[in-house]
Parts: sequence; structure tokens; C-alpha cells
Amino acid sequence: MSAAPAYLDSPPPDVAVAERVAADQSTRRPALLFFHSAVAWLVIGSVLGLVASLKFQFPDWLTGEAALTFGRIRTVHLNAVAYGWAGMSLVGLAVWMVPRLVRAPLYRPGLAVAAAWGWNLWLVLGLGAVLAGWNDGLEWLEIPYPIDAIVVVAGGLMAISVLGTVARRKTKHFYVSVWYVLAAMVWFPIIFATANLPVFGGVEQAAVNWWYGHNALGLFITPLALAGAYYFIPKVLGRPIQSYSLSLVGFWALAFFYSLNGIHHLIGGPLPAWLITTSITASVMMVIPVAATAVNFHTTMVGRFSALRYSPTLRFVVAGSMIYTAVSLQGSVEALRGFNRIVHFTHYTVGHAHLGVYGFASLILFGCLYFIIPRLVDWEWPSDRLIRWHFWLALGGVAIYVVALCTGGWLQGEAMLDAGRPFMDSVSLTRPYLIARSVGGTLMLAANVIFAWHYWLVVRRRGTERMEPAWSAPGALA
Amino acid sequence: MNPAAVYIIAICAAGLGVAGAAFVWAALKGEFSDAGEAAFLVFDEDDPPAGPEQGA
Repeated sequence: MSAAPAYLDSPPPDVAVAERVAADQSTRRPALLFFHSAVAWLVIGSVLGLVASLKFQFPDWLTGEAALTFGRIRTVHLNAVAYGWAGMSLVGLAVWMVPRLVRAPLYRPGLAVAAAWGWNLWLVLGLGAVLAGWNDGLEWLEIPYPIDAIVVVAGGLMAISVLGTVARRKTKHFYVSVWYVLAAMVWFPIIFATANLPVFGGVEQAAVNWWYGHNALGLFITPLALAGAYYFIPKVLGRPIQSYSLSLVGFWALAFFYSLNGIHHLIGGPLPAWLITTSITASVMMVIPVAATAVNFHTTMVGRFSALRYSPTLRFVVAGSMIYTAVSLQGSVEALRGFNRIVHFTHYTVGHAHLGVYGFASLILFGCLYFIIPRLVDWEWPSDRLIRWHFWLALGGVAIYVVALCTGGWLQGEAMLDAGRPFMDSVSLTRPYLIARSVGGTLMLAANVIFAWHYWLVVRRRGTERMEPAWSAPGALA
Repeated sequence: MNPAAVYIIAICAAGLGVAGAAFVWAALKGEFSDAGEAAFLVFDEDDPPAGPEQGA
């Protein structure tokens, strides 16, 4: 890179500080806009998720209006949390993190701000359309494709801003988090635009639908969440990642093999067997990047686990990273034909999805926000207690939710496969597990509301001014 | 061959091409030759590793 200054990755201290300050100043407005929006969508999506869950206990509740029926409420829940909360907060994370890592101000921050407004407009119009009964009828792609054009433009503006920043980098190397962000910025537009093309029909539509649905998680949410974990675990511990080379192995293994995942959702469907087998193979091969990441995070943490007692960022990010390992291995097993035969079409899949998006990605995001927000608003989180409640309610809620649905889903699958049992057995036996689902969902909603309230307090600079970061004292966490 | 297979394999092949090109580019730029240096990019001069969440 001919434009790079001579010092490359080791600038003089005063230059490094000036570059970091400039990077932070350039990202403040767009990052805050993405985060404010994400937290609002988190609350909206969580409320709708609990409403949808409660309908399993009270099926006649809120049935007077078509917009409030299960099919629409549940759909809006999924889109609000996947694209509104996770999507916007992950993009905000990328906007904040990349300029720091490449030591260059964000390129044209106005484009990122416009992207955030566009993303919100897409969601408001799209989810309004879904509530009104207009949707594409495809899971994860329900928002009508003419409205999707808005997010394509917004995503393009976002990509110009981030890629332009990277093009003006003052570092010789890309840190692994930058690799993940760049990849997500390239992959997501490809899969989103392809899956929304109105040219597919029938079986091919189903194949493209699930190829997209799985890769929205694997090629967008996963890389951006891992980018956050690779940044904040070393950052908070004050020591570099144990094996940087291994982190690159994990990234490139994901880059080369993940995109073939997804078709295993259609095991048993009318598709060529080799196509499904290819996807199953790719899913099992994901053990390689997952193991590389898990080993790297764990060995970086060895000897430093006591830090979890006084760092909210580390506590959330490490918990999310451990769940990443668990949910990824669960996914690889779930793709195997023998296992899939039982859990397909059951609540098990719903449990798995929540373990991924909430247990893995959301916990990491919460941890990232506990670090970033005080630096953006120059005000520390006012309450240790609210952070503790947030953590335990979130972790306890998702644990109850996932254990209940995976157990109930397995029993449901066995009942459906037993030709000697009436179908209604497979429905009625899930009742206690669906109650547990609502209990877990209530705890997660409580955690999210507490976090949103605390977020409101810190961005409004409310509460007593603190000179120390929340939980900075060893042993502050009971 | 099922049209779905054609679409998906073609798109995945294109993605593989992009990933492969990026990998070759990274190798030629020396990203893997002295990669350990990059591991320290997360740290800033005014961001001491003295304790959790201290510094900028």
C-alpha cells in the first residue's frame, strides 16, 4: 500500500492516540444511531416474541385482528430481532470497530448515517406490510421484495463507508476482526440479493430460501459477532489472542466452507440427494473453524477467568463465545440425517435458533455495548446491579428456553415418528415445555427491558457520575 | 439436474472464487508471514492493559 505512512503498525505514541481519537470522533454519530435503533428493535421484537409464545397457552388471545394473529406476530418478532436488533447493532459495532483497527477515520460518516435511517425505514415499511398481510411467504425473507430495495441501497451506502475506510488504512495488516467484517460486508449483499430475486419457484425456491436463511446467520451474524469477540476478549484482558494464526485458520475455514450450508434444512425433501449430502458435509466441516475459535478463546482466557468477576464486557462476551461453540456443534449434529429425522418439524429447531441468535450473538453484543457506549457518550453505566440482573436474567432465560424446547422437541419428534400413536399425542405432550418456553421468554424480555432502561439512563447521562467503569473493583460481582 | 442445484452451486462457486482471490491476495500481501504483529492492533497507546475496561 503505497499511501501508508512509514510507521505502519507501530506509530509513535502521540500519533496513535491522535488516530484513535479521530477514529472515535468519526464514528460517534452513525454508531450511536445504529445502537439506539437496535435497542428499540430489541424491545419491540422481544415483546412480540413473548406474545407469540403466550399464544401457545392462550390460543384465543388476540385473535380478533388479523395483524395480531400468531403467523404475523411471530414473523414480525423474527425480523425485528434478527434484522433490527442483531443486524443494526452488529453493523454499528463494525462502524465503531473498523476505524480503530485500521487507524483511519470512518470514510464519509454521512453515508453510514443515511444507511442507518434507510435500514430503519426498510424495517418500518416491511414489518408494517407483514402486519397488514403482505409478505413474500418465505421464512427470513418475509418482507416484500420491492421494499427490500431500500435495505439494498442502505447496505450499499454502509459498504462504501466501511470499505472506503479500510482502503484508507494506516496499518500494514488486517486484524482478524477486520477480516470478518469485510467478509460479512461482501457475503450478505450477495446472499440477500440472490435470495430475493423473483425468479425462483417450487422446490428451487425452498432450496434458495433455506440456503439464505442459514447463511444469514452464518455469513452475516456469526462473522460480525465473532469480530466483536476477537476484539474485546484481548482488549479487556490486556493480552493478545493466544494464537493469531489459529484465528486466521478459523476465519478462512468459515470463508471457504460455510456457504454450502443450509440445504440440510430440507432433508427428506424432493431435492437431489447429493445436494443435501454436500450441505450436511459442509455443516460437519464447520467443526474446524468452531474448534479453532473455541480453543483460541479458551487458551486466551486461561489464568484470567477471575476477570469475569469484574468486567461486564468480558462476562457477556465470554458467555456468548462459549455458547457459540455449543450451538455450532449442536448445529453440526442436527444436520446429520439420523438426528434430523427426529427433530425436523419440531420445537427443537426453535430452541437451536434462539441459542444462536440470543445465547451467542446477543450476549456478545451486550458485552460489546457495555464497553462501547460509555466511550461514545462519555458517561459510565450508572448501576452495577442492573448489569448483574441483565446478565443472569438473559442467561437464565435462554437456558430455560433452549433446554425446554430441545427436550420437548425431541419427544415431539419421537411421537410423530411412532405410527402407533395418534398425532395429537405429539402436540399435547409439548404443553409443559411450551409453558417453560414462555417462562424463559419472560426472563429474556425482562433482561432486555432492564438493558434498554439502563441504556436510556447512560445515553441521557443520568445517575451519579462515576469515575470508575462499572464493576471495575475485583469481587464487585456477588 | 435440478435447477435449484444449478443456482446454488453457481452462486457458491462464485463465492468460492471471491474467497480464493481474497486468500491469494492476502498471502501475496504478507498477511500470513508475520501475522503475530497484527494481534497487537487491538491495543492503543493510551489503553493500558492494567485492568479491565480501563483506558479508551
